Amino acid sequence: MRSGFEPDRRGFLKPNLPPIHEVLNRSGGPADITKKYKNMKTTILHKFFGFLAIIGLLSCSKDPVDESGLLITGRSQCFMTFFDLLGSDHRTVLVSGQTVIDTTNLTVTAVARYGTYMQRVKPYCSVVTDAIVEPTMGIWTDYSQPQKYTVVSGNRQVRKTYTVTVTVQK
Amino acid sequence: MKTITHSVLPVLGILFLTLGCQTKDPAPDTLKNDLLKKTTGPAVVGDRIEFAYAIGTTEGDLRNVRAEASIPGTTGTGFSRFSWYTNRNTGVDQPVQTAADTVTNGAVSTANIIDQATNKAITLRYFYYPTDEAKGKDVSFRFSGTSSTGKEVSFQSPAYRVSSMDMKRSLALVDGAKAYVSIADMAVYTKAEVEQNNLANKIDFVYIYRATLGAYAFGHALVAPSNPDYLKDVTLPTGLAKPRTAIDKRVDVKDAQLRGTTGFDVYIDDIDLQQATFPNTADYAYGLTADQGAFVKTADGAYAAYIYVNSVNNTTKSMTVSIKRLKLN
Repeated sequence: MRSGFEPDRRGFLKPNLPPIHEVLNRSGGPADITKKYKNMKTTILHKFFGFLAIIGLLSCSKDPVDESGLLITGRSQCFMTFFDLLGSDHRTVLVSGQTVIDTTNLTVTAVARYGTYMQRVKPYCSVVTDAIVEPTMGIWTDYSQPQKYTVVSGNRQVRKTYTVTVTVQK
Repeated sequence: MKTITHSVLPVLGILFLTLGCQTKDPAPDTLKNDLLKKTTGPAVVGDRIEFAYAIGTTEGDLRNVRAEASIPGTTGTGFSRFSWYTNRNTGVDQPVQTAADTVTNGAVSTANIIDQATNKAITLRYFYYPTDEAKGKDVSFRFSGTSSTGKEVSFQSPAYRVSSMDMKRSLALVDGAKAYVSIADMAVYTKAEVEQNNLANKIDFVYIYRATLGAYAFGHALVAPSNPDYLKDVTLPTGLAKPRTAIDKRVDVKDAQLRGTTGFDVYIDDIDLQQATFPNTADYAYGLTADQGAFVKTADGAYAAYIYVNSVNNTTKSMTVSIKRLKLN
């Protein structure tokens, strides 16, 4: 058995490697190396395209949406920020500065101008980012009685029901 | 023989292709005309449709023009004697007389061109005032003109539908006096007139002006007799029925025909009143000011209308309104 190193003719130690022709013979010769190289190249390409395919598949996956087609996000904030009420002429009927949104007690109180016909008004509101309101606002509604609206968070996990009460100046 | 046939046929084909499709250059028209409908709004009885009829000749002189409507118009129908040009210094359109003897007989209107030596090309205005008989029907016009060479040229207009609406302009309402409005009559009455003429069942709304009610502003209002709140202090005509007229206030419907001024291109047409819905609508509109109005539907469902507020006057407690009305059933 040969050791790892042995001195050459000049006395320097050199690695005790087998002659190249033996290596070539053992590996099946130059043709075998070329074949292995090609196999390795093919494997890399296959892996590369496989990786691309996985990325492609992942990129095609749809973001979650609710039944209305609205994006479901990760936000859990859930509150109303603004409320308004329009008359048949599409002008606000609310007295400025009188609307109070209580996000703790989940109430909205507002005052409509004297003479407002409360049986046919159209509510609007703003909510925190990605949240939605149920039922839909923006339709003619009878506000002679308090109305309830539920704010649903962006992740659709948190629901808070607000009671909206509008009184008319008398 | 076959060779000859093969040789002749291509030659004939080429000749047909090159010569067969040639058209002779027609002689240029020396008398031409054209038509422009200037009115953009619907043709409503009580208003007019305006056309600009242009005619010009390069040979001889212009003699006369003629317009024939498929349905005769009412008073005012016919050619104007004037053409218009824009003063380049002021930018203002100014008239210049180019026609005379403007006559309308039945459906036919005519005019003679004056100063024929210089008026080689003119544009005349033609106005058509639809009649009640034309409501809901199509009307079209055939314009024509002649020159001194005996040539005639003509232009057939498309058909235009005359609105089924009625229009009444400038009804003066006064609080406590001329305050009772009938949509069916398109008229306003005093309390005494309602009682004397037995109109108690024809009143659709009452005009009132209250600067304030209680501590709050109220202003000019149209109130249906059914309303229990805003007519408390009004002594209504004896026996006045209490119909609940649907009154839906608007602030942005500035109908150009009801307004009676140019510069606006909003028009209420038949379809607007046909398709207007009044779900859960109020029986009053208050705080009305000029250029605002209200869609109205009578309690019996017979009429839909738009009441346009031309002006209000707080001092005289009065309001001037114009009405477009459509009979629904």
